[in-house]
Amino acid sequence: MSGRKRAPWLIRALVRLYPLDFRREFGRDVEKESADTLAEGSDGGRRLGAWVRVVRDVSLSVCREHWDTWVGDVREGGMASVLQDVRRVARGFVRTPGFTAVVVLTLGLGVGATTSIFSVVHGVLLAPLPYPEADRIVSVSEAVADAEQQSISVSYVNGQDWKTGQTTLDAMALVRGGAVTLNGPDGAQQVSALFADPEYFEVFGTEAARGRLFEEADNRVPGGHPVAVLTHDAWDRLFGSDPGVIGAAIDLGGTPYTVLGVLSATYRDPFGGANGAGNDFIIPAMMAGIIDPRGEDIVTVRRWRTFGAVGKTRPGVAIETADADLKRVAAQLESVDAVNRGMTAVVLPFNQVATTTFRGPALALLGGALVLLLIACFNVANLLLVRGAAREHELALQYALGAGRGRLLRLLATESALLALIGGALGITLASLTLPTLLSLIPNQLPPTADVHMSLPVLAAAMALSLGAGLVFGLIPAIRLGGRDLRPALSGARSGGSRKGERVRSGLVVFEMATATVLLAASAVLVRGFEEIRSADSGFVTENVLSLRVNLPPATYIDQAGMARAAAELSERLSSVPGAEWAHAWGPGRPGQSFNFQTSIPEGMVVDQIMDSPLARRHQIGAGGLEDMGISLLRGRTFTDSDRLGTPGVAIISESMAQELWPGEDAVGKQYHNFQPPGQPIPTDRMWTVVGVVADARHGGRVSQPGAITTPNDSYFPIAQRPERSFTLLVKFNSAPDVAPVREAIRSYDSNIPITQVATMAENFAVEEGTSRFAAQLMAAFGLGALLLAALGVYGVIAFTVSQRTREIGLRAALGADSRAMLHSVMRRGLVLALAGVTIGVLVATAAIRGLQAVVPNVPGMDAPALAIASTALVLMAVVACLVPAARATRVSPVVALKGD
Amino acid sequence: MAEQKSLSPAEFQILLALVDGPKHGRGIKLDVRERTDGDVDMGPGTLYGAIKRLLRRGWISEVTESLETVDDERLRYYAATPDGLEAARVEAARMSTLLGIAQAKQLIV
Repeated sequence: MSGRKRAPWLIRALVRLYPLDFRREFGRDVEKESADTLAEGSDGGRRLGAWVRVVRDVSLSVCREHWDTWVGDVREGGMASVLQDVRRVARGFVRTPGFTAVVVLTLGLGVGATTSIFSVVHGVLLAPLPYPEADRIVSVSEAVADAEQQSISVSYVNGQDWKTGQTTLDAMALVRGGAVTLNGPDGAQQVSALFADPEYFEVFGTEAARGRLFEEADNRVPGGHPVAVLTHDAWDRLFGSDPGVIGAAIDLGGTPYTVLGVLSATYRDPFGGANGAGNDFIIPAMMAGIIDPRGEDIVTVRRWRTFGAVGKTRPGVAIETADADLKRVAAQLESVDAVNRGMTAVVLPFNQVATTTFRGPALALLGGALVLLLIACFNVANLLLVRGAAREHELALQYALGAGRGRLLRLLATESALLALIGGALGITLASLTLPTLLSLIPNQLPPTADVHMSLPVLAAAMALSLGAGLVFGLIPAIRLGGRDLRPALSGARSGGSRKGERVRSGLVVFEMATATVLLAASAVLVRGFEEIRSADSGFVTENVLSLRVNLPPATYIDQAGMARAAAELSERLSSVPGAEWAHAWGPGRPGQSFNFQTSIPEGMVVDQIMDSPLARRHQIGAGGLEDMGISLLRGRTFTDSDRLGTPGVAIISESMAQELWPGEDAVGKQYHNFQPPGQPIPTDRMWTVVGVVADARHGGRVSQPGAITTPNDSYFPIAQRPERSFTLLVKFNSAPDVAPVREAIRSYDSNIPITQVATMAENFAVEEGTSRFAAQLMAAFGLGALLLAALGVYGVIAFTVSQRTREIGLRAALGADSRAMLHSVMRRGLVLALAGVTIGVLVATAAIRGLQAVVPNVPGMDAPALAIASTALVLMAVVACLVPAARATRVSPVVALKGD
Repeated sequence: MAEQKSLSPAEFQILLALVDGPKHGRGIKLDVRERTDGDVDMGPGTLYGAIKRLLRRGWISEVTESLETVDDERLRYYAATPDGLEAARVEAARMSTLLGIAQAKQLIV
């Protein structure tokens, strides 16, 4: 030192990282110069700037000098010297196969977990959608002005006004999916159709492979354009790629449709379609009336909000600009119709909308995998340190023989790099092997446009991760070696593992324990959240209940009377299937999952705006259905056969709804209606009398979706009075449901009725719970991995300490120390490390779980049990990990231990 | 050793600073900073990295006789060698050619 001033520790630490030759020659100069430069900055702001400049400059220079040294060495010795290093390191690996295997496996698991999760995240969230200029595609929805995150469907009429009023979109299309019946020579089958405006093709940049697409002129008159475009896949699957079908008429729901053309094979459906596999037909939006009981009203009456909207921004227009533009148009439309009052428009990136439900869990899992990788890195660093200490003698000997410190460092670097590469290769192999399993764990949860595979970016990320990991775990031992005087290690042959080394290793273990606690607590919370979802009481019978959907062809079941009769007759037939206890029709959704809401306004209450109306889910059910489903009647009566078309409208409402609409009163006998614009009379079929109140049930889906409408209100109507064209049939069996006779019964009733979505209620729930289960299972696996790695870390340090202290222990034993005291001393050390780590971990975990709650639905708050489970598991593992070396310590024979001297 | 003929900006500045006579590390840095009105302010790593490379190439050498000591510690002075001055001259000529082209194109006057 110059004696004037000592360089700050950070600078000294950085200088230590220089290659030895450079450090010998200029290390002190750099330290001194840094100190002088830092001393120049007088006031706070300038001083900080000087710090940043100096630290950056020295860090970059460290890298540069290492590169120079390496290049120089390679030039000097040729590639041969690098290969020689590699060979030598490889020989070392072969000599210690156990050590090498543990390191490579640890790394491989860390890199593998991270890579496979990242490939999913990349495919779903990061990779652009498979459309030209996909970043310009937006989704547009309507929303209540002060609750924008709860976006809702778009009124077709509003959507058309948006189109003409807006100035920021190149194209905009309203779309609505639905199931239609295709009557072919092989009988009826249900196919998925997307009813869309002709601009749809422009938005997604889709072209016709054969024939033509439909145009503006094909979408003018409601119900007047029976034409369709086939997707390439549907053309293959349904028509055997027959070119003759283009221009020919096909029978959709009893109406002949002309096939205009076939889409290009590269077109990927951005929506799931009725069965999740994409739509088969694209039909002009003006025809959408065929899938809705309101018929053509849904494209002509402003109040029916049943469409989605997509658009493509003009080049260079930001999404925020388009959002403001559409909001302006929506504001103008507020005065056009009372149903628009208080409503606005929301423009979002299409990709974001398509992946909302997946984003949170995916990011949480990626975070979990990265934490696991970090723990793996610390573990490997620890193992290398332990081995480095054990090898100190060997290294010192090589040094004494003239190997040069730089060369030793290079060997260490080669060792880290080689381990990182092998570990990374193993990780990538593991990831590509497990990817199919991983994907199968998330049934129907991935957006249809997701393309998950081991792509180039994923591989690049995996390699970067491995090398980054190598840098993290390789740097620590290198710094340790860099600043050490190796001569003592040579003389005192077995003194290795200095006190400072022990501190570094202990610090790593504490950190590892802390990180593992966080991961374990997070996984405990996720698992508990999933358990809560799974075990939640739905409020109705689900055991051995089969559910399937039917869609009544309009040609046969022309009017409401026809639909009502079919619902009753089908239920009747299915209830006499062998093994069946009862059967009921349930519309429009199915029990447990219904997203059909209706405004419900008590008689006498004045509501000016549709969005101020109380909301309730709407269900239609056959007589006796509520009783059989176990939804218990609290007051009033249930439906009877006399509640049918032509008699006054009746409803049974849930307890919550009764309390919201008529607080403190008996709801039975009260009347309510749905929203009507002020001044307009209430249609008689939109006025209902409450005849009964039933217990609450959960129909909002098992897992709450971000932005979804949530209400505990349910209203039930007789399906005989409010029939549906498409509804669910529920069949309760006295044992495991048997599908075949149910299908046969429906076929014998009418072979033209397509049957879809056949599943038991348990299966339906399992699909709904998919993402939660996936997140919980995977996070649990990560947590378990972290637990094992942390235990391995503790074991490594304690075992090493014991082996280093063999002589001391032997001496104490010779002097008559109690073996139990010895056991205690070793165990205490392990426990102190574990408890320190767990304490820090618990503190961090509370914050981490709050973050988790923000991104994953249905995560319960941080609670004592989750933390207790995590910390207990870790401490127990630490105790087990200490027991083996501790037991070894008690068995140290004084004679053997002291003979070493 | 790495035989590169081109001079990095930092190396060129150091050679320029040493044209007037030997200087120690900090002296070089201050000289460069003064001449460029603070535009070029080499950090510690940049400075000694460049000095190392110039030494390796034989373009500067360490002055062996003691010139100045602080608290008994000798400051290391560096001087440009004839080769180093020649390298600086070649670099300056190259820059001058470039300057000429820029002027001919009336990029600067």
